[in-house]
This record gives sequence, structure tokens and C-alpha cells, in this order.
Amino acid sequence: MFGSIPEVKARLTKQNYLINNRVATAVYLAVNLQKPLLIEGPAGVGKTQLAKAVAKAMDTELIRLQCYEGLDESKALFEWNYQKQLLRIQANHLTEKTWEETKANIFSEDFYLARPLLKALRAERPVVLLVDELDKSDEEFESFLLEALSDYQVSIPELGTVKATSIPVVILTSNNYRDFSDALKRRCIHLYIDYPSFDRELAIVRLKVPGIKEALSERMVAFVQSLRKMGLKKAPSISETLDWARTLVLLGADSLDEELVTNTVNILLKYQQDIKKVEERIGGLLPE
Amino acid sequence: MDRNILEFATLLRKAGVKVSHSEVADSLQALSLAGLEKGVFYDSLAVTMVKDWSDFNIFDKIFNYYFDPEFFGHREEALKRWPKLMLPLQGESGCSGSDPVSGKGRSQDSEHDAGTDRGRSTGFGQGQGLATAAIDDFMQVVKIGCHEDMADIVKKGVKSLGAIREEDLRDMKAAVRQVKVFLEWNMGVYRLEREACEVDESVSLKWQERLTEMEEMLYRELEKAIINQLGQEALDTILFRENLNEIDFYSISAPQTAEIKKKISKLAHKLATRLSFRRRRAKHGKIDLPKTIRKSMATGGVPIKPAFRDRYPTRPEIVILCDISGSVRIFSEFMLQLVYSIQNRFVHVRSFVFVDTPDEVTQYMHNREIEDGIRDIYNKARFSKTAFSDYGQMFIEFCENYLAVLNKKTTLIVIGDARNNYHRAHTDYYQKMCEEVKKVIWLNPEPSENWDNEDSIMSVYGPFCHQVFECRNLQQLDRVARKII
Repeated sequence: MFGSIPEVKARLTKQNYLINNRVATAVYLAVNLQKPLLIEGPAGVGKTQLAKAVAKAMDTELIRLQCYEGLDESKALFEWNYQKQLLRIQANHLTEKTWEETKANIFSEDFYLARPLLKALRAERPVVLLVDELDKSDEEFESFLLEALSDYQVSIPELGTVKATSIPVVILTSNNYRDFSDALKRRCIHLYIDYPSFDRELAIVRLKVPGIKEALSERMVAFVQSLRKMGLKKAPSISETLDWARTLVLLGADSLDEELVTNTVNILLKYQQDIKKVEERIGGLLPE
Repeated sequence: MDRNILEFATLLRKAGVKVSHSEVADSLQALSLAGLEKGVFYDSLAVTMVKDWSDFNIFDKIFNYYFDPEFFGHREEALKRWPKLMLPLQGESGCSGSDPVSGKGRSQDSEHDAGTDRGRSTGFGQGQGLATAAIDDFMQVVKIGCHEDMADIVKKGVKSLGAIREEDLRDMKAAVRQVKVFLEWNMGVYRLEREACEVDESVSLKWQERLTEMEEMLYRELEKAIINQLGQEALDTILFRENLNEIDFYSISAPQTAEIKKKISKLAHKLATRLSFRRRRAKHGKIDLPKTIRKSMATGGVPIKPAFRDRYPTRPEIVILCDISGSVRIFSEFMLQLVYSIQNRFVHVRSFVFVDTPDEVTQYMHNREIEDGIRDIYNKARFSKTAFSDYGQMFIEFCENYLAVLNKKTTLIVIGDARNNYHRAHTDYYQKMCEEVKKVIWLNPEPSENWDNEDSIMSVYGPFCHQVFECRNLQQLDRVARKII
């Protein structure tokens, strides 16, 4: 648990994750109000990283549920261990137990596999449950998740209602691939993480890529920041900046020149048309 | 405090942000937990009340109006007898120079950008302000990019309007134009653009960003002045205009256009995914008889399980015909954006634009950024001879040149207000076009009560269409798009 907003900030900084006040407020409120935190923002600004950092800062386990199209309850919540049940039935055959006994046996707690959601609810002490890229899942899954998120309990037909032994910190991330229902949004604390400001990005680069020269880091961040203003199809985000910084360090670069940027710009930009657009104007984009 | 939060939530709702009771309760809980310190207060409300990042701008705006010290302090009495109380306040600040007002404004602005240093601004605003021409001021401010200076310039501009009148509320664009003339804004932009060729790209990008920021500031400052002057009703009107879902495409401001474009790309995404989802699921409906019989052989001729026909998604060919004369231009652009962002849903899309003569613009839009495509349309396409809409003439020429484009699989979408400038309607040609295609849909961005007034001849063309929709705001566009796509 976090005692105050500055404490959130300090403890996450310790985990090498720099945040601004709004993020700190959101994390603080989500943890203390015991509400899920819904994080949106462009790809690569550190949404998943935030969840990892929070888990580390709270010194607890991170349970991750990666969403994709077609994800259903059996993969998110729990599944009967079919093979084990079969084995038991066959074993019981040899001992000539009655069917009634066998039936009572095979639907017990020994025979299910807990999936992330159930694991998080059953954990001894509060864990961080990261539901990653929830926007990729189907709408049915989203409404199924509602029950879990609102009361921290789930209903399993054979077992009844499972209540959380400890209430996990739930973090949902989304790339805005689709809209969520109002019912889900209503239950969450909402946070939009945007591209960082110049100063914050510079600090992040220096923190994560310690080997980089001071002057170089300033110039490269300035370059990335002006790229973002250009209206590209996919603007570079922090993770790309970091990749680029590591590349430059690896290449032993001291300063940015046109040739170097032209050769490495494909690390920052992922679309051919973006690369073309930038290459045309590269001279003007590099600060003197 | 509770009451203020509730009131604030009501204002947000008026502007179209969905804030439910439980969210208000959350925000109150959050405040009691996090405290009322300025920055924290703002952040706590933001994360508990705004659940859609495209609403964030509206939130920020209303927050700044509602919790503005000038505004907030007088709230109690102002609610009782608003206009009388607010009027002298405004007059006073107008006479006594900019000091008290801009002082407050500054502390407000600098709250959000702690990064800019304060020292730089002080000399500039007052010292040079009146001596030099407005245009130099303007350009200097954009080049330096200090927030306080930008706010000063904008404030000076709004003050130049003098007393705020009802018309300013009704037609904010006109008021903005007036302010811009006073500040020699457009001249400044023009000169900056010329200079931009000589400086570095990174610098000119910064200028552009500041210009958009200043435009936004200008709108806000003007709205603030209007609210102070005209009171509660003005606030309601302004908030209602913020409601992007219900605002008329006619009356949107430049910043709102950008917001709406974002919303449209979201809508497009929704449409594209919704269909793929349904197609995957629904395999019910029509029974496939041959298949059922074949299947029944296994069970000795008794059809136990019926086999259903596969659903083949229909992928229509779309021909879109857009009026891009001044009055409906914005809507046409939105529609082009929408159609081209879900291009893969159609076999092909062919697009034509016209004012009085049609020209095909498919090639400009094909596999390109939509923005670039639209720019090319205005630069390259030949859609106007006289600059006045003439639907009749356009239909004649379309029949002459492009009739082969239409066939029985095509859906023809016409976008326009059917304002024909009293030219001849030439319905025979339009009828001919309609007979060629599978379906004709006409989208009219004007309010339906204005149809057939003045030179609008919607009811003349209407009967030949399969469907005619009034489509003047985002909400209606959403509904229509679901029906036709």
C-alpha cells in the first residue's frame, strides 16, 4: 500500500520508472480506493511497464493476463484438468468404487487449473493483476470481467462463488483498438498516458541508458520530440527512443549527423511512408 | 464542496461527457483521500470523472472556467442575480488596465507549465506591447513561445472587441475573425509561413504547434469573456456547443474539427470491427437444403440436424459524390475520411467531388494519408467553373462522362444540401443515374426544417433516392453509418 502521492512517486522512481503527478495520483487512488486502473495511450509509452513497476514497488507478485481475440473464461479464470480427471476415473475403475463416489471426487479443488484471474483472487496477499490489451478481447469477455472487477468475486457453476481472499490491484491497459462499455469505464480509475515532455523523456533516457553522452541524449530527444509534431502515421514513443539511444551507444556515436540518423531512423519509425517523409527533411530537423 | 462537485458534474454532462452518479461518488471519495491541493485536486477529478481521453479537452476547459477564482468567488451571489453582478466586474477590469486580470491569469496558466521561467515574460508584454505594430508583437510571441506572452496577446485581442454582445455568442466565428483582424493574425501567419522556409524544420514545427495552441487560447478567452458578461445561459450555450456528438457540422470551430476527426476515426474502427465480429458468429438463419439432405444420409434419411447456409458478407461497391462548396465542405471531408478509413470493407470506392462539375478524385485518396488526399483534391481536382453549386449541371456532366462507373452492384451516396442556386434541377438526368444503381442514399447536412427553403430543392431530388438522411452532427453520422455500411 502507498501512504501518500509523493510516496508513490518516490517508490516508483526507485524502480527506475519516472512518472508525473497525474500518474502518481491515479495509481494512489486506484490502490487506495481498491478500484481497477484503466490505462490508455499510444503503444510504447510504458503502460505495461507501469504495472510491472507498481508490482515491484509494492514488493508483490505480478500476474499477467494477456488478452486476445477469442480469449474465454476457461483461459482467463479456470479450467478443469481433464486429463487428471480421466486418470482418476480409470484408477477408480480398478478399485471398484461406485460412480457416485467418483463423481463427487473429480469435481473438487484438486482437479482444476487456476488461470490468472482466479490465481489473483486466491492469492494469500494482494497481488498486481495486469490485464494487458483488454481492447483486443471480445465484448463477452469484457462483461464477464465486470463481475470480477466490481465485487472481486467470480461465479463458477461447480464451485459456487469464489470471493477474493485478498483484493488485488487491477491494472487494465488498452491501445484504443475499440471502445469499452460505459459499465466497465464507470468502475475504473482512468488514466491516459501521453508522450512525455522533453524534460521527462530526457530524464528517462538518461536513467535507462546510462552509457549515453549528455549532449547526445539532449539532441536525440529534441529530434524525437520534433518528429512527434510532424503528424506521422505512427509517432515514435518512449520505447523506440530508448531503443534508438541504445543503438547509438552501441555504435559509439558522439553526436548526431545526417548520415547516422538516416541509417538508424528505421528504429524510430515503423512505416515506409513515415521514413520517407522524415528522410526528405532530415537536415532541417536536426538542431544545430 | 460536495455541491460544487455535483454542479461541476452537471456542467460536464451538459457538454456531453458521460458522468454517472457513481463516478461523482468516486471523485468525492478520491478528494477526501488525496486532499484538496491544487494540482492533486485537478488530477483526482480528471482520473475519476473523465473516462474517454477525447473528452479530456472539454474537462480541462470546464475546469478552468468553473474553478476560475474570478468566477468561483462570486458564484454564490452570482447564481441569484447573475448579469447585474458580473457586469461591473468586467467593466472595472477593462478600465484599470491589464494588471489585476493578467496577474490572475498568469498564476493560472503557470500552474500547468511549471517549466517555463517567469522572468522572461515581464519586460515584453507591457514595454513593447503598444509601441510596435501588432503584427510584430504577434510574430515575436509565436517565435519565443512563452505562455504568459501568448496569453497576454490573446487577452489584448479579446479586449479589443469592447463590450461583449449577444451576437458574439451566436456567431463566435465572427468574433474570432474580428479579434484576428485586430491582432493581424492572418498576416502574421502568412509571414511566419514565408519565414518558415528559411529556418529549420524543427523550429517551424514548434511555431505551428504554438499557433494551434494560441488559437485554442483565443477561443477560451473569448468564451470566458462571454460567460462573464452574459451569465449562466451563455455558459449553457457554450457547453452545449462543446457536445461534439450533437453539435452541427456547420458551426464547429477549428479545434473542434480536429477533435471530430479523431472521433470519426474511432467510429470507423468500430464499424470495421463490428462487422467482422458478427460475420464470425452468426451462422443461423437460412437453411441450406441440399446440404441438409446430404447430411441426413448418415442418419438414414432422417434430417436430425439442419445445415445452415454460410453467410457471405456483402461487400458493396460504393460511389460517393460529394458537394464541396463552402456550405457542406466540412461534412464532405468527414464523410470521405470515414469511407476511406474503412475502405477494405468495400470492393471499391470511387469518389467524386463537385461544385458545379464532377471530377473523379479516387486516385488522390488511394492508399494515402487521408489528410494528404484531401489537400490534393483542393489543389488538383477541377470541380468548379463558377464557384456556385449547380446540381443539375453536375448531373448532366456526370451522365456524359462517368455513367459507366455505375452498375447494379453500386451504392451511390450523394452528399449535399441540394441548394441549387435557382438553377434548373435536371431531374431526368438524376433519375437516369438512380436507375443504374442498386441503391441511392442522399445525406443532407442541413437541419431538415431548412430543406426546401430558399434555393434548396431536396424534395425534388428526394423521391428518386432510396433513403434520404439528415446528417448534421456526429450522433446522426454514427447512426447513418451503421445503417449504410
